[in-house]
Amino acid sequence: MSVPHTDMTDRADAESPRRTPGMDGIWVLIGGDLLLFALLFGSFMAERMEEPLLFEQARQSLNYHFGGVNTLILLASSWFVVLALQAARAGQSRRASHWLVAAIACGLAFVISKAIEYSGKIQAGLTLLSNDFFMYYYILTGMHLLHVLAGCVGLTVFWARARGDAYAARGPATGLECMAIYWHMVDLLWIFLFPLLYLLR
Amino acid sequence: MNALWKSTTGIWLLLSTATVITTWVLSKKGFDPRLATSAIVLIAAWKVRLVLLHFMELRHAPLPLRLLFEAWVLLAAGVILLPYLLTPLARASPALPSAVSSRVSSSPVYTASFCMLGRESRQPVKPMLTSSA
Repeated sequence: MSVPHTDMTDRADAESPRRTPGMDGIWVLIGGDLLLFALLFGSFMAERMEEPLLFEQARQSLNYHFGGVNTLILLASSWFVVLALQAARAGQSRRASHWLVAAIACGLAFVISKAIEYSGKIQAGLTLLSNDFFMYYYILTGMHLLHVLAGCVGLTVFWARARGDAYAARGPATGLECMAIYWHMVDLLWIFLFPLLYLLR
Repeated sequence: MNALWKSTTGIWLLLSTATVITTWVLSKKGFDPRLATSAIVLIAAWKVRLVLLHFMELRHAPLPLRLLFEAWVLLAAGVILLPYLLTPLARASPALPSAVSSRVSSSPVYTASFCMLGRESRQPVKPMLTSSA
């Protein structure tokens, strides 16, 4: 750990100066990703305008219970990462590693749930080529799933660091902060993707 | 530390509660589809803003960075909500298309939405075809 700055450890303090969480680079990466997804949301909606009945029928073949539970899983995962970051900043490395395990477990639960959902759809004959709705469904959820998988790998790397007492000293944990920001973005994208695909009536 | 812990836990509870309401209450057929769906998208935007400000700590970030990402929330909600409101409601009926279509076309919600979009009056809907006539 680098030299701890006492004024940077307690970000809840309203007196603390404004600072960019993580590093500038992570915000550039995330900004680009978010713009790409906004573009895809827009093109999905444009396509939906052309074929409202088809999109409505296809939407009704999705099981929104999956989407809702997956949202809750990702929200819990985000919260665990917040707790891990707080523990790391407080110099409680072991504690941070435990919260990270919980976050990774949620990420894997999301992946398993998606695998079950996909296999159900494929068995019902609904694939990428079925219609425009399902093309978007697979592309959007597939891209998001890749983000989840990458996030799980990243979280595992930070879990190993935390287990190795990398956060034994109080102070900012910039690397883990970047990881947390990325993971929250994965959560945030799903918060929009879920109603977009499952709930637009 | 304690205050922050409490507040982020509070935010998580808020986000989860909102998710339960939008997923298992507002999606029900009893609600007017236009109103319920618009509410669902707006609540999603509000949830995303909470994640940005509290989980990603943008509320303590320099203002330009914070505003940039808050603007994205508006953009994303806008590209979903505006086309949604411009698209006529489609009541798909996969099981019994012909039997249900007459009932669907006479439903007040359906008629109202067509009137809102400047259609002359009730128009019969043909399932499986686009209703952009």
